[in-house]
Amino acid sequence: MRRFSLSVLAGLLTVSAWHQISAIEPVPRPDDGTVANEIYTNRYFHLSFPLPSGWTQGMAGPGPSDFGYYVLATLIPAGELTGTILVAAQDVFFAAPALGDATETAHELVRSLSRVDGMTIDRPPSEVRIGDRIFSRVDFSGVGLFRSTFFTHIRCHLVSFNLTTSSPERLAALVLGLNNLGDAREGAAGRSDPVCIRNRAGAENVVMKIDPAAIGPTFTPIPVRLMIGADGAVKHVHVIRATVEQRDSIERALGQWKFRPHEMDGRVAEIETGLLIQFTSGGVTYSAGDRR
Amino acid sequence: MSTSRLIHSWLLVGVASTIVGSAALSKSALAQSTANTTSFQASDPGVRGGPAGAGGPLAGLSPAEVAFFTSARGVFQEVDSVSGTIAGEDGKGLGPRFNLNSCSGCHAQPAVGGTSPAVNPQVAVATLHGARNVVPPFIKLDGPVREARFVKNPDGSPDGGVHDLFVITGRPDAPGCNIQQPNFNAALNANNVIFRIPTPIFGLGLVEGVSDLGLQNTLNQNPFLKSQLGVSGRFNRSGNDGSITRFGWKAQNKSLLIFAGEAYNVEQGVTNELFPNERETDPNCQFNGTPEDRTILSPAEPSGSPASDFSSDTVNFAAFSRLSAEPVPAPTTTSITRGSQVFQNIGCQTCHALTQTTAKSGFTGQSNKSFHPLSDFALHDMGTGLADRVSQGGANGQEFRSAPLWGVGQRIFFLHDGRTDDLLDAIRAHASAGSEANAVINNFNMLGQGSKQDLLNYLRSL
Repeated sequence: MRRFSLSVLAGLLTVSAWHQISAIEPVPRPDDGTVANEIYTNRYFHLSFPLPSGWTQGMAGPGPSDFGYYVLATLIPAGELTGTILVAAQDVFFAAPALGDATETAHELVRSLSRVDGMTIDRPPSEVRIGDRIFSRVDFSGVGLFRSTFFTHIRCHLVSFNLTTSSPERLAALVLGLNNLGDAREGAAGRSDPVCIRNRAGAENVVMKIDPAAIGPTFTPIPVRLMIGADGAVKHVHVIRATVEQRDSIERALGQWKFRPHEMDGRVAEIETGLLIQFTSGGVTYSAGDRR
Repeated sequence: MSTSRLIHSWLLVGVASTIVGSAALSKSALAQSTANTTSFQASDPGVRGGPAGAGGPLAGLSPAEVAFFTSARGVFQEVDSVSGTIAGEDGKGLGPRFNLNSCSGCHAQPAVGGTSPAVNPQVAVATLHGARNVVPPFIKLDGPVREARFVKNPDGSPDGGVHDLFVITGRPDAPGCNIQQPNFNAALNANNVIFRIPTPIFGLGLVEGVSDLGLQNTLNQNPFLKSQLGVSGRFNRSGNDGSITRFGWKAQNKSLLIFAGEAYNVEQGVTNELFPNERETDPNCQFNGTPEDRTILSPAEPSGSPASDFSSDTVNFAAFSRLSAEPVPAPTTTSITRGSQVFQNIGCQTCHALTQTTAKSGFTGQSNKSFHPLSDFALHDMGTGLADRVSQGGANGQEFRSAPLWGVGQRIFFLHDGRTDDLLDAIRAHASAGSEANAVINNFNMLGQGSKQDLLNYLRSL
């Protein structure tokens, strides 16, 4: 009996410890990439990019926007400013207007650029392979600046590498350097990413919810990404942009939500989805996040 | 005269003509002609001279609306005293605390309704009529008109409110009032004070006339251009109904009437029908019934506009703003055209949006009108370099509304606190840690000097 009790106790402690470890293991966020040893690494997007020789990290960009746009990194030469590389990501769940695939986005960019007086499209949208990823590439120039933008989709984000230089030769060199873009996945044992799905956080899929305490400023949309386990429990709440008090309130409440498990190919799956929260004078409103 | 002497004379005439011609070139034109030399450095050509490009009424108004504008502009120029008892200072309600004694004193450059003039009237008003004020160290005769805000209260909680520079103590129309100025030296030493300069009111009726949907559509334009530049932006919103607010450095005010009423009370101390209570509560400094500015029941002297005559000063101020025409740019030149291309190519227009359009308007000739404020009226994170640590509405301490650039050519001081009178410095100040403008300023910094000069010439043409 005593041996049985000890076994049960050991089991309970193990489960508790696993939850503790899971709870404290940091979940990568889109904007927590770093530059170290001349390599830009982003665990969320699994990016590993060696900086061009003599380059360094430039001034930090702004924080995430309230429609899920991130400036991930700005890279510049250490000396004279002859070029820049801006790495950005747009969460497709919250983009306004809604985003298509990388190719459609590249064509939209060309349409926008064509309306800019003095801008020239040097290379229309084309698909290029870098490592195991397919990018859409557009080259354009004007007023003595030469630019190239590469779009791709990763985890329901439109990720872009935006290269700008003061000469076409320098641009060509930067483009060549982009071929060194690698995968920062943590070895063969690294976990696979949750499946990203639009509109999965709607009321029809919610089994149990607790409203966060409404905290001002009101009427400002708060984008939230949820990681939902195969059992329907919320595993991680990522409040993309909010005040500290709003973030605390939302994390505490949404961390207790439960959803109907998502089935794919006959099996339940861990997923990632978006939710837009707005605190109003009347309380809390939710929308599924997709701004289509 | 011998042939050789004649040739020599013509040569001298030719050389002299060349010298005179060169001297006649404007500074910017000279800058253009030397743009390709390696020693040339782009520079701000300075305040555009010539007639003021603003100050009149909107085109297309009815005669009654023009009369309202004209009379309201007169009210805007009224000088206030405590009880309206000083000759030439008929306005009533100044103080007990104030920053200046008339709207047009601050809103003066290049015309009534503009922004800070070259000579700061706050220096003279400090001791006007025997008032016992010390001019704070951040107010200079050749510096911008400023209001001061304290970032934090003494207990450490957020403040952010305006702390008026001056008091009416010592004036003959304020007998018995003995309040003191705030301790600005202590606030400066504690790094607890920030500044704001006046915003011009030209064309603001057009801005007020854009629907929320119109503003949203403009903000949503060119998302792919913005996404490759680090630009996003969002609106400040009313906490009452969620609608977009659009006036002020942080787009914190909903309407021109609210803006006028708040300014009248905060900057001059005049209580009014929107802000009916004195901010200073010392009973020895209350000389008038409140609100001091209110609807006129029996106008003393008709002005030709009954609307103006019966309206309070605040309503007149709002009408003056609402009916005032947008600034008119200077005639274009080759450099200005190139500068406009630079402005768009490097991405300035992703925040300083070129065009807005009004909705259906209640004012004659103002419906569905496209105009060019060069602003999206949205908030943008401007980073630590421009942060003032004051939140207003939904705007945090690093966020500011895209300042409308129409009329910038004839402004003297730039940025929210008037820290510079040099456009080049103002452009560079857009870049700092956390700013949405960093990529655009990187693009600017990579330009050749000629392109930079073209951009500066374009801005000074606005």
